[in-house]
Amino acid sequence: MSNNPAATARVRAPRWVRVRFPRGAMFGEPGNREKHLAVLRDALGALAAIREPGGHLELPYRWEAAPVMWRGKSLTEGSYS
Amino acid sequence: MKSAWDRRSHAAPVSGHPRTHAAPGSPLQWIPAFRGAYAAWFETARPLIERHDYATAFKTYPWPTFVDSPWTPLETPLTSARLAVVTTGGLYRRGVDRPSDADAPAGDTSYRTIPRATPPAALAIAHSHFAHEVAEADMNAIFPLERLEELVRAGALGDLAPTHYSTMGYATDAALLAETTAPAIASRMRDEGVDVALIVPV
Repeated sequence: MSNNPAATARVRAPRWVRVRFPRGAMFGEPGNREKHLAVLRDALGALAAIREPGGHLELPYRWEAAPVMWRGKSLTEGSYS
Repeated sequence: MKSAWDRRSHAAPVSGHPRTHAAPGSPLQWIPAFRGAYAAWFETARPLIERHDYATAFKTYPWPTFVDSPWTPLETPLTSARLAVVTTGGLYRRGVDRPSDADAPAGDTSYRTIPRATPPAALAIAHSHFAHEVAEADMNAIFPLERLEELVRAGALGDLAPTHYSTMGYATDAALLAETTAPAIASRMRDEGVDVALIVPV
């Protein structure tokens, strides 16, 4: 799982999926069971769909809640740096 | 083990011993150079970290470089595969486990085991470098064991491992992680017949 594609590519993860959620919320908004399940189903599906080392898929989901605040920064996707 | 946690992985070498010299072509080749660069970096970075000036401190971090991505084909259909979760959220069982040391300038490379049946409410977060509000409201946002149990019941996933894992994402000594922490986790996964490792960085 990745919400920070530059960092994930740098460590050359074997296979990964990217989500556009803020750090600390890899599977989506709290309590959004359906979205958590959808992300997990897609991530597990990627295990079979990705056939080359380092391959990745972009998942279509977006953050649908107030931004997450951290040290004065407002985030709806990605990490702090 | 037919695992996504690849035997060739630079992050999880399961052969060899800590602090041995890596042979040419070994996935551990980066470690000797990293150790020297890391020691020099930490000497400079430590006072910045102690002032919580992480942005400046990590501008010069000696990120390891790797020549390829490790790879293990998925040989077991998902409907019969056994999965383990590894989160870097610094999770621990409240009143049972010692929390990770999130305040140490170098971070903490230790890990905690989380049994499958652990209720989310029994977990706490020892990682002071991210906003906790989402995970504290719903631990499935970073450690989705309840949702994975649903997928097992629905037949979309074979099984969950008896044990799952948490490290604390603020751990600056990548060599220690690669030589000690990751092999220990991989070894336990192998013992428990894990086919797939779902890594959730925080």
